[in-house]
Amino acid sequence: MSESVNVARLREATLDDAEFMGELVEMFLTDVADQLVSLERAIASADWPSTSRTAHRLRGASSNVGAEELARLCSDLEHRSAEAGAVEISAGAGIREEFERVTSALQDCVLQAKSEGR
Amino acid sequence: MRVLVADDDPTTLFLVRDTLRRFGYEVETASDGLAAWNKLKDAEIPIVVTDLDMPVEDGLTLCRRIRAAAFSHYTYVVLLTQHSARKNLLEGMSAGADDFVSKPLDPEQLRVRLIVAQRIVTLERELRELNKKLTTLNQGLEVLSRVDPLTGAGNRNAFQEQIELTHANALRTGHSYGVVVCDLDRFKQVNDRFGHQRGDQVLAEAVAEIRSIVRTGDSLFRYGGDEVVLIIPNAGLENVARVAERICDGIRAAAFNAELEPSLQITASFGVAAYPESCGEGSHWAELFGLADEAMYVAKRRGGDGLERAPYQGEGTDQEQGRLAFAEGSPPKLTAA
Repeated sequence: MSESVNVARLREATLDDAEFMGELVEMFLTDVADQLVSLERAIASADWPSTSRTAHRLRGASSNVGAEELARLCSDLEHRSAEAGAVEISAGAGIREEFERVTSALQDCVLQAKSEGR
Repeated sequence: MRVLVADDDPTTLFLVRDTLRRFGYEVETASDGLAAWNKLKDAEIPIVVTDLDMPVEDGLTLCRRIRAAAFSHYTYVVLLTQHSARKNLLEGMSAGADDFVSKPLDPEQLRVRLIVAQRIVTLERELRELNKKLTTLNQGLEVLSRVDPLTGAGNRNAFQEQIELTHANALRTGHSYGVVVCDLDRFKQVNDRFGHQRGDQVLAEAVAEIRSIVRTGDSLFRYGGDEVVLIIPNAGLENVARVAERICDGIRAAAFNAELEPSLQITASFGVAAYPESCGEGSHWAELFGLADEAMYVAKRRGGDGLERAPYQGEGTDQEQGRLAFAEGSPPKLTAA
């Protein structure tokens, strides 16, 4: 869990405020769930420009919450799809799986922060 | 202080907005460059924090729009950039951005950049206000430097500017124009008998009387002492003489210092001249003015309360010749009567 989310970064980004962290995580999870659907649709229809754009956004959002591995995967996909090497793209390349791990890690972080009364 | 945050990623937008709110800023948001621009042009927002890569219109376009806009205030622009996108950074700063913050966002970095932004914006605002005050003061001085405070008529500087303008205009269009030199008769006696305060009041009243007679396009100047000069555009010598006659009658009929005991009767002497009739085509305006002045002295020697047309061609004016001194390209100097 701790590898999926850089907790120190997330706390720093949200000024060590549990409520702020809770809101950011909620915003992130809702947005990324939508983006992931778009991403998978773009990959399925081999729309590489759209894949690249969506991956770019996902990378930015992930890095904000300290989801460094997810950000790395998205960055990787962004660049490969931008080069339009359609055949080289092994579909979502584990992004959804990583997102599941990030989701539970983030939820744990929020619970932890709230229980500590920050 | 107001800040506009523009980013297409809702998570970043939320993070930056709430971070800045916690630092005490009043925050507006936009999710693309065009939406940001629409907010900026409708309200004075001095600080913009923007992503570069946005749909509809990107951050570069937004920067260029801000720099090209004729806003009355400075807009300080901070870019949000990915660590990896260094080439975009140069492009962004060249397009008009002032600073940048890297993503993923470090709130302390954002805080310090915004402190600088706030300082610059505040300095610019203070400078702008000072500048506005200075402009107003300068405009006031500009007016003061051209107006005679006693009579409200133009002063000698204003006369010179106006006659140069009118003369140039006459040369260009071929229209004629006239000059009337007016001097109150025995004004020195008013000052000597009733004091300078009443003398000043007589002068102010005389100018008011003249102003009530002339047309709006004519301009009135206090050249010095009790000498008043009138410039009448688009008029020939006879037209100008008629105006002088009306003024002569008006002054004779008016009661000066009417609310005081005793009220005074004053008359004035007039010299009238018109370009080109009086001095010939191509002559300098100073020549025309000199002739009008000379004619005024002729009228005065004749006993005052009347006018003389220039050029005066009567009986030997040689004794007066030395009275007017001309310097090349400068207005004539007059000595007191």
